[in-house]
Amino acid sequence: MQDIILIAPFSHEAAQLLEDQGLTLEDLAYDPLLERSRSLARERLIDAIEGRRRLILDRVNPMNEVYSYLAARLIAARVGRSMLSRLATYESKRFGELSKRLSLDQIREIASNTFKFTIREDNGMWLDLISYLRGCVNIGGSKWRLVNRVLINGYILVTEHELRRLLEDHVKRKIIETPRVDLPEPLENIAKEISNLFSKRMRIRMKFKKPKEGRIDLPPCIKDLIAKLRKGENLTHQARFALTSFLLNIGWSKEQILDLFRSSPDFNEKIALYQISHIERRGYKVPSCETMKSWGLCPGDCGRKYPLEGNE
Amino acid sequence: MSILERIFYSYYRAMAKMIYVSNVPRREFMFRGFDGRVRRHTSFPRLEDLRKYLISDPPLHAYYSVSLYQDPTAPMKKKGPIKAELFFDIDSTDLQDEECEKDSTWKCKECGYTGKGAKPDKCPKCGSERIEVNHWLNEKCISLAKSEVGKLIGMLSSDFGVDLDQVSISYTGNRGFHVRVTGGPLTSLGKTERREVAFYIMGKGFDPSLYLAIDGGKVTVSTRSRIMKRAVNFLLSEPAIFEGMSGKIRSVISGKPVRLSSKEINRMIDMLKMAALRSGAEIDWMVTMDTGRLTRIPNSLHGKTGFRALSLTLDDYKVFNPFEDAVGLPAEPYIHIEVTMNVPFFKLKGEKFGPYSLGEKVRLPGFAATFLVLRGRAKLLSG
Repeated sequence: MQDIILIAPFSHEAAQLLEDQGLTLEDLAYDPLLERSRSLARERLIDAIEGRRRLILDRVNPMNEVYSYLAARLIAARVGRSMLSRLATYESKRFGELSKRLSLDQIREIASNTFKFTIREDNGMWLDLISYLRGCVNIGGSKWRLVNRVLINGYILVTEHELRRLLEDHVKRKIIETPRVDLPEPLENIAKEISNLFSKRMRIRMKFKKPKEGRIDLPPCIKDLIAKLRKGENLTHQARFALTSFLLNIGWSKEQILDLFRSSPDFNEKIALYQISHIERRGYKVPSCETMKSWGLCPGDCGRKYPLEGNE
Repeated sequence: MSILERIFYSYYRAMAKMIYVSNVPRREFMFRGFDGRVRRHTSFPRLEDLRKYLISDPPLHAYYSVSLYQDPTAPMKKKGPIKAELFFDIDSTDLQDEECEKDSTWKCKECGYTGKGAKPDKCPKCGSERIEVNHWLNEKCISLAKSEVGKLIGMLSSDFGVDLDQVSISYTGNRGFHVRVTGGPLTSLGKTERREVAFYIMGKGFDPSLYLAIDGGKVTVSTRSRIMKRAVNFLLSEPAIFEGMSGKIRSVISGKPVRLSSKEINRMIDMLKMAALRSGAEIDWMVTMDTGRLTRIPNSLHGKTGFRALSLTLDDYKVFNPFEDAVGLPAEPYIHIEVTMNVPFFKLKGEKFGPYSLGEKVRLPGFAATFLVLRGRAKLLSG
């Protein structure tokens, strides 16, 4: 139980403890005993911005993990959608890492108690279709597509590793759905500090100039990906590949593309630059509309057969 | 009021009690009038008001939303969706079958070149892709569409675990069927999740390599995936395709592991991909992923045939014959028409008609004359 609360502060078990303690927003903001939680919340947010991952847990007072997680969510929501998305990616990936310390039984407990997964055992582990679909749509790769799964009577055959990965995505969704509320002063102050830091981090992105977009007829799939990036949403590996190869083909420089990716919640300049350079060096072609459809990146038929059509 | 409008009006006056839509106040309605006017974002507080509307302003086409909304009259983004039925559109036009299309005609919009049968991708004369088609419908179109409905229902039941009491089938009044899952967890899915469902049903994006195993150098195909199982069964049941494959690939498909070169493996993968598509159901995936779609009001008339859109049971649809069961208009009054495009032989309500040639003037029972005029193959001479 303690492990679940420490590693999964979003869990039903943690929420139950919060409810039992009757914690209010004012307590979270003013209670001197929760000072450590507030500073931990700040650390969580800074780590999310800087791309660090704190894996040390407060075992002396496990509730600090829960309080700080909750405060970080509320502050991120107050700062804005991009910051919330960044925190969601950070927390879900952190959970992915930390949850390796949890047993399969504990993972199943979180899955069913917190996210209402229905899991059955019958010559393998079977997950209900709806929980699978809600998670899989944000994960790239053909093995995750429903068409490539064993689906019988509304249940999908999954491995332990896949169950853990799907949970990560549900964690992310849960955080992204955090409502935006007015915060008491001490939390509002942290929100201001985080907002400044976040803007600073994004400063290079603000300098980014759109190259001749007026003369370029971008297909809706590419527009969609750019809009998602600008909102700070995370893109799948295939989506990043499609976007990069498209932009390189219409004449964007590596630096311009790199700047676009800066708003990605898991942005790492070194890795991103390597990937962009690799695509450029190899001269990869832009995926066809058929491929974009199979990757789930086509928002609807725009009449093109190839995303570059009209821009060649 | 034209004679066609008068016929539609008489139909709705007599049949208003047969019009039924569930959850009327939460649905959006759309109508297309005889003047081409489209009325969207309409709602009715009660079923009775919808019936009255159909009599007072008989439409050429009448639709309602598969979604339930907080405010059905608001613009799309502000409607406040409550739930959306999972919707599948099966249209024989997408099946591109020669027999079904044999009496369809097409015309190039660029150079005016015309032809008969399935529409070519490009105009054979000028190469333009702008081609308009006047589809015909015959028994083959309907039987093909029914077979797709059967495949879809089978998958919904055995793969998706959908309770068949929550599946509704309806004939569109033209060349296809609409199938809807009206309740259960699938109605809570979002757009991208619905696309996953649609691709599964179609077998689109299937990657057979995920189900190939190499053991001791020998290749085996795992049929644990229902899609793979259907693809394998399809290949085994199509002698023309099966016999065309190499002996080694045939062995693996038949469940006997053998060694294959990487070229042969790739060839087998291509065959399995094709088989997955052929054994999947041909649905319009863009319709399925769009929760804002509309379907025809049951027992309303289709403006391209004059046939009734009908709700069918799981048993009904198999024996259903639209040329008998969906003809909703009476024979009286007989109507004079002039044929504007060649008309093949056809049967309606057991009566035989045609073939008619361009320029021919005939007097036909109301339902047959309406059918030809609405299909764009004849024009009214009186009324």
